[in-house]
Amino acid sequence: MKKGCFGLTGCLIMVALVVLVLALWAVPKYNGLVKSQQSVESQWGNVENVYQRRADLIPNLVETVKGYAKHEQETLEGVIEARANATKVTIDPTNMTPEDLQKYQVAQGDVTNALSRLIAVAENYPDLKANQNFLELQSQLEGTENRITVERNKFNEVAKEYNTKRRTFPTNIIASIFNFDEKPYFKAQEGADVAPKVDFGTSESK
Amino acid sequence: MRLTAALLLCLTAVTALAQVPPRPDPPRLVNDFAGILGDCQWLEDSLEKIAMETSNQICVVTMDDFGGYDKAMMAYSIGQKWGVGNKDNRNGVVILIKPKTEHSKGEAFIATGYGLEGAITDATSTRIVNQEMIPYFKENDYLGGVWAGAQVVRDLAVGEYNEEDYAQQGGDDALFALIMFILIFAFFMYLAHKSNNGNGGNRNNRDTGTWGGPIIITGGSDWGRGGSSWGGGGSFGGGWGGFGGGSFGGGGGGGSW
Repeated sequence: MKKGCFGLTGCLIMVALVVLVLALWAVPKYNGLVKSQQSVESQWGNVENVYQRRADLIPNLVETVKGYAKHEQETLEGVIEARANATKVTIDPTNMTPEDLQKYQVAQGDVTNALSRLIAVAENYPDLKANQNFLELQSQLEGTENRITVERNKFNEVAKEYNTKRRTFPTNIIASIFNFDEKPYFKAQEGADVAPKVDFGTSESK
Repeated sequence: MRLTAALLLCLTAVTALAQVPPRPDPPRLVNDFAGILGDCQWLEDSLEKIAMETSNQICVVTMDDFGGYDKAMMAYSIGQKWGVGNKDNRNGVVILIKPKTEHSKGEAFIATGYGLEGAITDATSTRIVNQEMIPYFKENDYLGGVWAGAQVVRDLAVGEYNEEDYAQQGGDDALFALIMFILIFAFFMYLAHKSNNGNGGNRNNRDTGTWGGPIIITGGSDWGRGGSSWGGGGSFGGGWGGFGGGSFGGGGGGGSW
């Protein structure tokens, strides 16, 4: 009886030790994944911010252009429509799929295209090009496009870091137990559906 | 065609950080890789002094060639890679210049760290480049242009004056603004006076207090401007401490000539 008791206690101690060691091993890995996942999610917030920043510039820009280029109704409406569509496409950063991101990217790419058409149209209106407000908006838009590039790249970086972590042995065991899903990337678009960089030609002498 | 090319450059720019010049060692705020600034030790000293006194790091870089980079992305990448600015305040600025040659136009860009995006917006950066710097550059006075731009950046960065003040400096609006300010001030003084004399109740006092707020703030910043001085020479032990790990988000503006 006494011996059996010892045996049981011994067993329990052994099990407890194994659990403890496992926990000591797993917890930092788990925490590392969570931390990495959170930085992906917060970086997604930054991405959304810069796109939102661009969306916020659009009404002002459209108003300004409208004042000088009334006949460009189609182009103006194109921008407004693209913006409206893009605002509808949102992503839950905790659970984003490549399809979601693709959709998001396409919608925002449409805005970029519409904006570059608008800016190209503005080239035909010297008065508009000289308008201080328009110049100001142009430089803000240009800066925002730069920010978008930067934040998208940063997103890809942190997503890559996270994905590498969750795929590397032995962290991948933890990742599959606790369902850490792979995060998608922004794709550098090539070919026909390229979102052209808005070329503002500010004070450029050709 | 040009659009596509610009896009491709833009997309590859950030990932291809390898082309960005390495961080100077020992760290220097003036990096005249293009050799257009001549004897510019005083500029280095002045910028280091600004860094020590205000923690804002203004880094000047000249390059003959951006290696396929867009000027904005090159300036951003330098700022990010070198860590210009303070890590917590993220208050670095990169002034990047490519001199005009027979074959290519000159380009200049001011990239602002995250922490200074509010003080120096993209529109302001663009204006500084086009209005303060390029006129000098056109005369081949690169050092003069850089210093003219750096001074405005410095003043904006320390909040010495705000952007509206800067916008007004160039135009004839300044006088108008001053007159408006005095008129508005007088008007509210009159209101305050009237309501105090009128029934002097608590409620009225509170009202005038609310109105008085912005006026007091404006007065305060004016006072601050008068009180600070940049000219005084002091002795500084040690260096400016090097780049502090500041980060950039793509903000800034530029121009070409």
